[in-house]
Amino acid sequence: MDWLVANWTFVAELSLTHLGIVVVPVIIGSVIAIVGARVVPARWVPPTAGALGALYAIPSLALFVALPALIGTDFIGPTNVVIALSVYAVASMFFSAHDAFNQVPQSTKTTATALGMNRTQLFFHVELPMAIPGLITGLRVVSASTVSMASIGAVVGVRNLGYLFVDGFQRRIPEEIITGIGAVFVIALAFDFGLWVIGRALTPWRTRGDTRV
Amino acid sequence: MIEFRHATKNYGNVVALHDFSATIPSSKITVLMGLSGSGKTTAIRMVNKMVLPTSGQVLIDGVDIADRDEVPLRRSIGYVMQDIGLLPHKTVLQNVVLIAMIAGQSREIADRNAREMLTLVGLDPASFDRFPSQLSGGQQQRVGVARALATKPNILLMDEPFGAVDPIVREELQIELCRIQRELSLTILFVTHDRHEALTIADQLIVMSDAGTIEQFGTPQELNATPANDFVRKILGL
Repeated sequence: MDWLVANWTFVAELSLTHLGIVVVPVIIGSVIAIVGARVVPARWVPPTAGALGALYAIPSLALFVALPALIGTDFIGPTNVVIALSVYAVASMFFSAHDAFNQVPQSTKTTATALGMNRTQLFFHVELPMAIPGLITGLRVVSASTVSMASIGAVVGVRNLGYLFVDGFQRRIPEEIITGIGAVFVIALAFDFGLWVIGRALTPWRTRGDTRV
Repeated sequence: MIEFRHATKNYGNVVALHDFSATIPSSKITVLMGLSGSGKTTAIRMVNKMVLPTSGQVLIDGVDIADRDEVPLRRSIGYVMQDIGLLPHKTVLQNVVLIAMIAGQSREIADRNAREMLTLVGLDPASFDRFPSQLSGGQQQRVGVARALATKPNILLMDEPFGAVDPIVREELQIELCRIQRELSLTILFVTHDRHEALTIADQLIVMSDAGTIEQFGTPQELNATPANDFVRKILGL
């Protein structure tokens, strides 16, 4: 506790950068996954999900290091980590998104189409809002795993909460490591709570309940 | 007036509707009655291009709908089916307003039309701001009908709309549908397998057997008095 009290500004600063390194890939990855889940034709879904699953098997550290060689990004700086985390976010979100859209009842889509909605209107008025509960569930998984994976970026020199593990380990300061774990945990919880709140706000019909009149 | 001219629909080797020809008069309720496999749903879905004929034509007021874009065509035709398909995330009023607005009505006009239609189908204004899940099945189907009328169509297609509603409410809805049809002078094409429902609401009755074979076409009185064959006698319970 003494360590945290003495270093709280540093921990707060690392928490903020950590937050940034998580928010960007979660947004980029989810948008790509959601659009992909809607655009990829049904018969291409199993192979796509399979390929993305295989991507997930690549260790994150290996991907952080390999990206500059693969796509020519700079070795230094958070870009590699952000790109790699976005890739993982797509991999994890694609199938949840596909599932979420599949759970929209066919009858609702049929009547909406029969009453004159075009494809775009169907997506924004019917499919997307009705898929929200499933999408939020997927996002909660993605955000938790991204928060923890981002800390590995510290090994390749990206300053975030992972730095507290690396530094604490090298200098044998257990309090620093414990603070790092605690801070990562708090951020993951905050993300989860935030998404839960957003989910509730976007699905008011589920909270008002079935009180029939 | 809706005309089917030799309308045929095949799904691979399966014939859903074969050489179906019939004229559906304007401003009347015409009931397509048949058992499952009679092609009645296929026929009704051809009218708003939810099903495209493999061969043959469907004409509305003399115009082949093959020449019309499907989205504007659908906006000019009401559609109600058994699985009502209301949007759970929108209130009763919003459900109706949305359909009016996608058809190009301004928010103000859409709102006025929606309230008018919801009142017409007998819904209490207190329920306009509720979510569909807060209504009974019968009330939900009233909203379904109001929504189908939101664009002020002349034609209303109804595919077993009251099939999931309990018998007492069902009878109420049938009576109100007849009232609404008269008030708005709608051309209604109504699919059912329920003989009581068919005889209650029909101005014209088309009895279909497999894949769109017409066994008899006439008023309920004519079919009751002179059923064409055993099939008609049996399906009408005579």
